[in-house]
Amino acid sequence: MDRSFLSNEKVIEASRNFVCIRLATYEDEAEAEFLRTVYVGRTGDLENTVFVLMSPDTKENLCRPGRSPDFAFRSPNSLAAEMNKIAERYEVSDTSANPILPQLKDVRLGLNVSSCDGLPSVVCVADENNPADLMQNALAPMAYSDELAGKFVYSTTTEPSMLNSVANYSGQPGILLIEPGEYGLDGKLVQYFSPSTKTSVIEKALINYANSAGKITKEHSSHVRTGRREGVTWKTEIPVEDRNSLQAQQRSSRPSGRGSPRGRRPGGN
Amino acid sequence: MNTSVSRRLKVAIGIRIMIGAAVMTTVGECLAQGNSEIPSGIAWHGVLTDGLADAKATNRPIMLLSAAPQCAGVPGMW
Repeated sequence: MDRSFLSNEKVIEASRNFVCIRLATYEDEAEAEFLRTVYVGRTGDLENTVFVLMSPDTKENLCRPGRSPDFAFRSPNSLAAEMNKIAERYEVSDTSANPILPQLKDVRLGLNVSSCDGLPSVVCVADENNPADLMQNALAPMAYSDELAGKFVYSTTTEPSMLNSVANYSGQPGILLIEPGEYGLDGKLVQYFSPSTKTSVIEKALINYANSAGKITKEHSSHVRTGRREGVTWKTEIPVEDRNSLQAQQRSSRPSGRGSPRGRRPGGN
Repeated sequence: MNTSVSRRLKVAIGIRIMIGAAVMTTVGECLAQGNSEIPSGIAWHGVLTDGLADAKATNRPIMLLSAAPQCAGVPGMW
């Protein structure tokens, strides 16, 4: 996946007129079934990465589906231009009416994706007295605002024990700002907002944090190599099908001469 | 002749100083941005049903991407 497409300013600007969905491959059977209807490789297996532009009802592909944007577009600029052209075809309803918080399906995945993106995580911890939808509805408008869009990774849980690996968190319900760990398996609580915290206070705090904390960057092969050496593993919800990924996994689990497994990026991702 | 050469030399030095200052300013700005601010990004739905409901409600086209949040079984890297 050529990520230069998705960090391009023009593509980001064009994305505001789209609903952007990024699924975690091999982390949900129903979503995997849907992805198989969009694109599979020559072998018929669900590949590591999938990319397509679609109509709002998903009935029409608006570009050639493939593993990444460069299957259909020569450059980020051409992708942005096509997105702008496509957006003109649709009469958009009021997007601010009832925004849906752009979040991951659970906090385990939320922390991992947060680490993958090098972005801080915002987690809603709900309970009987503090329903998840109230917290999500409070966060949703700011998650799409000009100042905060795409700067945090959101998720929700009703089980505080899922966050036992987050340092400094006491298990109280509320909204947590977390800096993810190197592998997204743990993290550090940066700020805690009780359920009664005003939305404007949370928004101001997130803006301040986004303006003062940089995006974390990692070197791909050294991350994988070190992770393998330290025995860090991730169990996917469904089996990985991508043959390149499977081969890379086997290669990196093989002991090398000096006992340090080698990591390799599968399928150019 | 000497006056002409001297003038050209001064102009050349002036241009170099201006270019140098511009480059340093740009580099300084880039470093400042990279170190102290999270850049704007795409607001991704991570749940298919949420994204499809949003598209249906707002009639916006969809940009769909899928990627594995692990590499060779190691999390924290796409």
